[in-house]
Amino acid sequence: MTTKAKSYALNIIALIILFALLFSLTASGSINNYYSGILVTVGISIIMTVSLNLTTGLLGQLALGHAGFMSIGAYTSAIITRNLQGIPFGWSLLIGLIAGGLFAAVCGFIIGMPALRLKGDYLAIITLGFGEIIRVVIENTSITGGAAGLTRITRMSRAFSPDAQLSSAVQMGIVFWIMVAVIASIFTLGRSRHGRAIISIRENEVAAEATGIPTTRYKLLAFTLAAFFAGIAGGLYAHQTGILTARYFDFNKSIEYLVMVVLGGMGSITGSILAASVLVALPEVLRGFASWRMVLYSLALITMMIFRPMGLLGTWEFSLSRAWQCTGDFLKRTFMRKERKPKLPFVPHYDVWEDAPVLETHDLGIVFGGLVAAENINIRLMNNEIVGLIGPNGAGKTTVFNLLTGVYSPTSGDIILLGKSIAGKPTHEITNNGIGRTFQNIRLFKSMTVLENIKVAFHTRMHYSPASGIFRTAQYTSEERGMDIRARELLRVFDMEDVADANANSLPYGKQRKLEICRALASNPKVLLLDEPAAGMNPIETQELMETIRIIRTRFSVAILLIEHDMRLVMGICERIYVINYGREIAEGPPDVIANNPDVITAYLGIPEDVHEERAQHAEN
Amino acid sequence: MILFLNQLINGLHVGSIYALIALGYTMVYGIIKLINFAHGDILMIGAYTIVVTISFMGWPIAVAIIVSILACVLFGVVIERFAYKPLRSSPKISSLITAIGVSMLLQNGAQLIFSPNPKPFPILLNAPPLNLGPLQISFTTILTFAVAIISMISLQGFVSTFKMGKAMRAVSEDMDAAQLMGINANHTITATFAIGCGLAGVGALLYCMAYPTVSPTLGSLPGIKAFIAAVLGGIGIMPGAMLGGFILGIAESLTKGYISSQLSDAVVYGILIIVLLFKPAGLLGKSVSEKV
Amino acid sequence: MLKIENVNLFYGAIHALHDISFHVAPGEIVTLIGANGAGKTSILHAISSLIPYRDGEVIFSGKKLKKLPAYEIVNMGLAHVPEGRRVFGRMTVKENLDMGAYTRHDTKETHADMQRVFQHFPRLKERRGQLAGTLSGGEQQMLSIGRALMSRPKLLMMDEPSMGLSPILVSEIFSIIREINQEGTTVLLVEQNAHMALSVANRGYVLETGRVVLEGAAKALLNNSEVKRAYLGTA
Repeated sequence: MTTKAKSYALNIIALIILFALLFSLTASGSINNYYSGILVTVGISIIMTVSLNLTTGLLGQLALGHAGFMSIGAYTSAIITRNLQGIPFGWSLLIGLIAGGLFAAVCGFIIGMPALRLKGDYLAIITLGFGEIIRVVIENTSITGGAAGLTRITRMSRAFSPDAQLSSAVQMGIVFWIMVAVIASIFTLGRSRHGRAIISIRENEVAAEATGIPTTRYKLLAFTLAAFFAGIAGGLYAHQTGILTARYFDFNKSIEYLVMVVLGGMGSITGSILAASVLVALPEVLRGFASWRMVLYSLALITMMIFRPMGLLGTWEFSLSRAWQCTGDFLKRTFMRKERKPKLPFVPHYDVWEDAPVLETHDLGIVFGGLVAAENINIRLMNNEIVGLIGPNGAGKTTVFNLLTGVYSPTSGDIILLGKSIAGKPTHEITNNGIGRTFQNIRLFKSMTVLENIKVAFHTRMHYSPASGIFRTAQYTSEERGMDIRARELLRVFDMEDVADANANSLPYGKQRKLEICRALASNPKVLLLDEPAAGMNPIETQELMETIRIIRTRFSVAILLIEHDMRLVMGICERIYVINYGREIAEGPPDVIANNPDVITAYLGIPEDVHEERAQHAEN
Repeated sequence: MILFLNQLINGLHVGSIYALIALGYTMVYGIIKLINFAHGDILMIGAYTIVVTISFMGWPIAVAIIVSILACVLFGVVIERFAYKPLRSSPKISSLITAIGVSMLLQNGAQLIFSPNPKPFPILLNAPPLNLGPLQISFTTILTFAVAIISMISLQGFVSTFKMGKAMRAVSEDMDAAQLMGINANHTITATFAIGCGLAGVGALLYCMAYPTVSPTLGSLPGIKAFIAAVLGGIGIMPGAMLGGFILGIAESLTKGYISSQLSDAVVYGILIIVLLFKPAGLLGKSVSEKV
Repeated sequence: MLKIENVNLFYGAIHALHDISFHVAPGEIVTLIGANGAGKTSILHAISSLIPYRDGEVIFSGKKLKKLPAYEIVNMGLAHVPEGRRVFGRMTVKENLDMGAYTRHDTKETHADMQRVFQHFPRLKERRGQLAGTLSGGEQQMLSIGRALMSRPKLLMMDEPSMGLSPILVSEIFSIIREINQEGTTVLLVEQNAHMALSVANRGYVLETGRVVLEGAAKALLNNSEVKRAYLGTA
C-alpha cells in the first residue's frame, strides 16, 4: 500500500506542477492563443485516442466509428448549452458535457449490442457503417442544423472571462483536468478485475469465456464506456471551435484516431497520449514545408508501421514511480494508510451426494451441418473420480469437452451437472456452476502475468463494481488483496510462486500447461476437464503430472475427466475409461478391461483383426 | 414505372462500376486478408493518367487508356512490394494502418503535383443515346455495363482455367498448402495486385466517364462504396463482390429517385448493417467458427 | 535420400526440436511416431521450409534445403501431405489434383499420372467435378495424398493420414501407402497410430518432447516393451 500511496502522490504532484506551468504560461501570454488552441486540440485528441484504445487496444476489437460518438456528444452538448441560457455558462457546460457523454454511451450501447457479435474486419466495417449513419442522420435533422451545422455555440474561451488570454488559460485548464480524469479512469479500470476481464477477451476469447468471464457483457461495457468518453471529447470540441458540421466527423476522423492508437501501441495508454500529441503537433511543425507536409506525414506513418509494427511503445506503460523510485521516501510516512483487511474470493458450496454422479450426460450428441460429430454419448462422473476419455485423433473427444463446457450447444441429449441441466447454457455460466477446463493447444492470456491469469478466473467470485475499480475504493483494495493472497496460495501448490509476476508466454512449455490447470482450478470447479495434459511432455514430466493430478483430486476435491493419448498416464491413474471413435462411445470400463477389449484394440490401437488374433494366441501360449 | 426503370438503369450503371472495383478489393483481401484502403486511390491514379496523357499530351485515346491501366497495375505492384510485403507476418492492424498511410500518401502526393483543384476529365466518346420508347439509355451506360460484364467474365474464366488463376484461388484458400504444391506465393500475390489494380484502372475510366471531374480525393468515395459492396457479398468471394456491387448501385439510385439523395448513403450503410447482422460473413460467405 | 542432421527449432521461448537427426534411404517407408506435441509435425514443416529452424541441416538428394523457399522444394521431388488434409475446399477435386501438378509442364505424363491417382482412388474419379470441401473426411485424405502424388515425388511425406478416419478407412489408406511405396516412391510417415505405422514401415524413430529417443527396425520397435507400454497400450 505504501508504495501505491507514494505513486499516487507523485503523480498528483507532477500533474499539479504541469498544470501550474501550462496555466501560468498561457495566462501570461507566453503561450499565445494559437498554441494554446493546439494544446486544447491535443487534449481532446488524447481523450479520443485513450478511449478508443479501450475498445481497440484493451478489448482488442477493431472499431472504425469512434468519431460518430464524438459527434453525438458534440451536438448534444452544444444544443444543451444553446438552450440553457438561464443558468451560468459553467453549469450549462457541465450539464452539456455529461449529457453528451451519456447520450453517446446510450448510442454506443444500442449499436454495440448487435455489432459486437461480429469480429475483426467485419466489426470494423459495421462500426464504420454506424458512424456514417450517425453522420447522415445529423445532416438531415433540423435540430442539429442539417448539413449547414450549428454555429454560434458559446466558446469556452469566450465564456469565462472578458480577458481573452485568461479565459484561454481557463479553457486549457478544463480540458486538461477532464483529460486527466479520463486517462486516470481508464488506467485504473484497466487494473481492476473488470479491466482484466476486458484484456482477457483480447488475449483469448474462448479461454476467457471458459474461465468464467461473461464476454458479451464486457465487450459491451468497454464499447459503451469508450463511447461515453468520446461523447465528452465531442462536447469539449464543440465548445472549443464554436461551430459544428457533421462532415467533420466522417470516417476519416475515426481513422485518424485509430492511427493514433495503433501508432502509439495498442493497449498502451502512454503510447496513445504520446501518439496523439505527436500526430496533432506534427502537421503544425511541418507547416513550414507547406504542401509537402501531408506527404511527409503519410510517409512517416508508413515507415513507422513497417519498422515498428507493434507501435511506438507496444503495450509498455510509463510509470512515474518506477522512474523516480528513490525520491519519494519521505512520502511513505506522510501518506501511510491502514492496511485493508483482505477479502478472499468467495468459495462456492456444492451440494454433492455420495452416490449421485457430479456430472452425467444422457445420449449427448451434436450435428455440424449434416455431419454427426458426436452421438449417444453417455458419460457419468462420480465425486472425486478420475476418468479417462480416449480414442483416435479426430474421434470427437474434444467435441465432447466443448459440449460439456457449452462451447457448442448439443443438438440432442442432456448434460446434468450436480443435478441440474446445463445443456445450452453459455460457457461462462457453466464455468461458474462448477466445470473448469484446459485446452489441447494451450490457451493462456499470453501477455498477462501468471498472477493476472489466475485473477481473471476469480472474476465471478468477487463483487466490486467498475466504478469501485475506477475510484479504487476500500472494497476494491480489500478484494484485490484477497485475490492476490489466494492466487499466490494456489501457485504455491504448483511450485510456481517464483514466476508469479512473469508474463505467461515467457514460461517454458511444461509450466504453461501447469498454469492452465491452475487457472482452471481457481474458479473452484467441482469437475475438471483436462484436454491432453501430457502432450509435449517427456516421461519424467508425465510421471510428475500423474502425481500432480492425484494431488489435485484430493486437495481440491474435484472429479477429473481427462483426454490423453499417453497410455502410461491413462492406464496409470484413471479409475475408469471411456473409449470413443467416430463420435460414438465404443467401450467403458476399468483400465485392465479396456486394454484387452478387442473393439478398442481394433479401433484405437489400429491393430488389424488377424494380428490381434495372432496376438491372442501368442498370449495363450 | 418509367422513373423506376430509369433508376434501375442508373443503378446498373453505377453498380457495374462498383462491382468492378469491388472485385479488385475482394481479390486482394482474399489473398492477404488486408483491407487495402489505398485501392480507391488507384482509381485516382488511373484518372489523372488519362487527364495528363490526353488533355496535356494529346495522345490517342486508345493508347492513353492502356497507359492508364498499366499505371494502375504498376502502382499496385509497387505498393504491395514496398509497403505491404514487409508487414505480412505482422498483426493485421499494422498492415491496415499502413494501407491508410499509403492512401494518404497517394492523395497528398496527387494534391502536391496536380493541386487540390478538380480538373475536367476529357470527353472520350460522343455517341447518341439509345431510345427505347420513353426510355433513354446513354451510350456510356451501355458501354460501362458491357465493359464491366466482359471484364468479370474474363476474370472468372482466368481464375477457373489458367494455372496462375487457379494458383490465386489456392493461395487465398490456404497459403501453406499452396506452397506445398510448388506455388510461389509471392509471385501469386503480386499477380493478384496487378489484376486487381488493373480492374481499378478500368473502373477509373468508367467512373470518370460518369462523373467527369478529377481531383486528388476522387477515389475515396467509390473506394469505400466498393469495399462495402465486397463485404456485402462476402469479402474474398469474387461472385459476392459483383453481387454486392450491383445491389449497392441499384439501392443507391432507387433511394435517390424515390426518397432523397441525401439519404442514399444512409440506406447503403443500413443495408450493409442489416446484411451483416443476419449473415455475418456477407451474402455469399460462410461463417467459420473458431476451432477450439 | 533424405538426411536430417542436428536440427534445432524454436517457437519463441519454446525449444521444440532438440538436435533431431535421422535419415531415409531410397525405397524405404520410414515412420516417426510419438505422442501429440512430441514434434513430429514440426519436423515435416522444417523439412518443407514452412517454418525456419535455428541450426542443423536437411539434405535431400545431396542438396541442402535450408533457406530454400517451400515452393522450390516440391520441385526437387519432395512432396508433403499436410496434417488435417488441407485440401482447397472451394476448388473441385480435379482442380486440386491440377494444383498438385503445378510445377510440371509435361501435360501428357501429368494426365497419365492423374489416371494413376484415379486407379488408386476410384472414389476421386467419381467425384472429380465436386468441390473438395464437400467430400467426406476419408475422401479428403485420399485427395490430399493424390494431390501430392501429382507432383511425381521421389519422397512422399505424410502427416497423420489416419487422423479422424474410421478403422476400415485407416486400413484402406495404409494399404494404399504400401502400394505407392511398391511403385517406387519413398515414404516418410508421421503417425500417432503407432501400431499401424510400424506394421507398414521398414524402420521407425520414436520421438518424445522434440527428441529422438529410440530408433530401429519397425519389427523390433513393435516388440519393444517401452514402445508397447507407451503407444500400444499393452503391457
